Amino acid sequence: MRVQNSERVTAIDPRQWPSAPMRAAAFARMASLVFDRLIKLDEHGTPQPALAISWQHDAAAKRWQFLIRKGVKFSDGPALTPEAAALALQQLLGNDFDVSATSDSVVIQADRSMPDFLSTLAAGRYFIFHTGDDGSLTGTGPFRVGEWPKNNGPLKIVFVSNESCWAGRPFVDKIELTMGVDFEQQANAIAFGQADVVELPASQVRRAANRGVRTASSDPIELFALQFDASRPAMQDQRIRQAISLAIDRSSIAEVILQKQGVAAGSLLPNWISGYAHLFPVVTDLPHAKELLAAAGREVSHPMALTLVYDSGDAEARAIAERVAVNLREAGIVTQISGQAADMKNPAADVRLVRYRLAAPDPGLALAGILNALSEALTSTETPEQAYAAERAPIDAFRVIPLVHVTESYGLSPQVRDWMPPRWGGWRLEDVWLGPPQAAAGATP
Amino acid sequence: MRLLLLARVAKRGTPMMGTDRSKLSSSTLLILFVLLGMPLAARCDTLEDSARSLADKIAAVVTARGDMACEIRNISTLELDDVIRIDHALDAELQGRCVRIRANGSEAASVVVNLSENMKGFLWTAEIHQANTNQEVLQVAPFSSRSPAKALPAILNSERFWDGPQQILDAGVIAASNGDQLVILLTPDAVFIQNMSRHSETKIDVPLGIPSSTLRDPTATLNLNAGNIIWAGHGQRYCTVSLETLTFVSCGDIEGGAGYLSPVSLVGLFAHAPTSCTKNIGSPWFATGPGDDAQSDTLWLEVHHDLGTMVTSNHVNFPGPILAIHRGQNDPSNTIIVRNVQTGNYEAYRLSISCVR
Repeated sequence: MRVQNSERVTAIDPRQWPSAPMRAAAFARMASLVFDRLIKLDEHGTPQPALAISWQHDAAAKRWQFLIRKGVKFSDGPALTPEAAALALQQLLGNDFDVSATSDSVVIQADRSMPDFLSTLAAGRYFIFHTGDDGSLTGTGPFRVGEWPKNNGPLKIVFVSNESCWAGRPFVDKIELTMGVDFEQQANAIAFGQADVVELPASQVRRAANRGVRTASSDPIELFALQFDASRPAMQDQRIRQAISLAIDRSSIAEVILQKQGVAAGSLLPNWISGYAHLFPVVTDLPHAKELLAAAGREVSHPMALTLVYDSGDAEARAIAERVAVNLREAGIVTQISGQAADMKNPAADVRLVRYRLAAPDPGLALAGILNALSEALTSTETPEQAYAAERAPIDAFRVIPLVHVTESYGLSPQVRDWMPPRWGGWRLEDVWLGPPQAAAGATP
Repeated sequence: MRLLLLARVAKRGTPMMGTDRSKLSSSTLLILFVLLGMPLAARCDTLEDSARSLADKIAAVVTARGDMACEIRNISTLELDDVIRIDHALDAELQGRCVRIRANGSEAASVVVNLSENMKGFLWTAEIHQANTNQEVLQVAPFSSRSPAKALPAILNSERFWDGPQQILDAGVIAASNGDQLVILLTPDAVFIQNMSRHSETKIDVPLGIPSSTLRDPTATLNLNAGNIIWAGHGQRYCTVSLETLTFVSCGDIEGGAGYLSPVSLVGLFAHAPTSCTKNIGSPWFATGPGDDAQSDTLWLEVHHDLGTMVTSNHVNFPGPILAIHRGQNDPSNTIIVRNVQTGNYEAYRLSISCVR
């Protein structure tokens, strides 16, 4: 199976987990080919056994014990033992946790209550790995790394099937994953039969479908939002921030720029995760926006100016920033947009267009992740009541303005069968198989 | 109390339009949540229990005397009969709390009940507007009250690969030698070869003798696994088409014929499922509701044994009646032909079955 990816990785190492959510999602897709976690999520986001077959915790949910599955081996031969699992998890969880092993279990002790610990372990970096004598990492997953990119060669990782995988051998024998391929090249590759699975930006899905490419999309799993710099004097007036929110036509962004692969958003979490997103209205009201600006002393005859920055490496972000600028101009705000590297800080930026990938389908964890990324105060998000209050606070204050929720999409070759990823995106390449290409010599219609 | 039911069905990606707070009378919003799974003093095990609990919360909030206009919006996967159950339970509980409801435009308070859901369960909200206050209450209802949310051995996944106004009896997708994607369609009197890469189409007449008025005729089928030859079969008759020359080749008769059972007359049709899915439960059968061809069908897998019938998969809903189910000859997929009741178009789906690990 030929897979292409825009991200490049130099190592598939859970210990070197990227902090940027988009990059972390790509990293997780690759890691899931080689490694397993103790827990996995089913279609409802409910924790299910993986390398751990059962678990229990104390009344305070500070001490968790996981019974490790027997008969599992790492792809290089050693057996999975509670000690090996504990060693891996201790490195990943850090010093705030005490991870130990018994004869058949891993015990994790924290100094705080962790009622959602299963959801935490079922996502992100918490893969179980084994370190070989040469320092290389192996896992218990459906594939193992057969070839790593050579110097000056194409950025291609070859994954080969793990014949002794505890969950069963995958259908395909190997996966050739080519990294660092831009989206245009990926689109051409799938259209011309040079790849089996490629990434499709939301704005390219319809175009790919029109070219006869099979496409598959997740539920909305990414968020575009505006985040204000509270230190900027112009952005300290809530009326101005509210005016900006009212001036933006989110539906156009979702329908036109993102070609219906996006949904206008009034909330941080999409409704399929929170269940209460419908309580956050999506409102465009240009007259009211102008009234607010006038009340804030910003007349249309003397338009205010602001600087909006976006990730220069994200073409969709640029298109959205440009549309936002058009909307704001109609309200009497002259917007200068500026692309910059995602991790750079621009002291002149009044507002940033951020793109956030939800880290987990669990609403509490997903919301905590977004609030942390937005530098919002972290409060408890364990219950829907708490989550709703935590989500409403920055939105009601217009410190952050959700714009759209976006799906994750892939282009698939005609040979790909049983493409059934989770609702929250990613892939399950171990369950995918390739149908035989039906060779037909001679004329084609 | 009379509740207005809006027949709005949730689809993934449907924008959820909440109340425009900026235009309502101001007030503090009080949100009350009850979380599914949290220890509760009184756990709600049925939809009616949850509806009554929500009604209690609403009644506790509504301080205005007089009529209350109520509306229910279903933005979840609850079926209409479940929504009606909830409506009746809310209605009964609120009247029992001496809150009289009439929808005559002069109500002192209005309540909008949103039947929503997330991955973990149903989440219902009630937006209450009265005088100068806006308040919201929330209630969780368990998924189990609707249908079992337990793990099932198999997962059905459908993917639509063709739709159009032509009446089709079978369809399939193959790749040409140059990589072009070809969609092959069987109609009552022809085989169509559509090149999705070049946006072209070739029609080849095949005299299978299929009555054009037949709406459900699952015995008409395609075989796309014979290299350059496409087989089209109807009962005992078959015809062949050359993919190389794009011409009709020949017709003939075979003993027996392709005997697929009609989903209209019988509940089940043997399903082509991976052996690893079924080794512990027996041979699965597709099952669908006995609706007529004006109703949408739902498909799931069942296993029949001495102790009874067991549902072994999720339900897959289609936008119209299922006209035909064809098993792949050499691959574990199934082709479903549907007529969309809203658009009138025929649609072809690839239905795959996978095991839950």
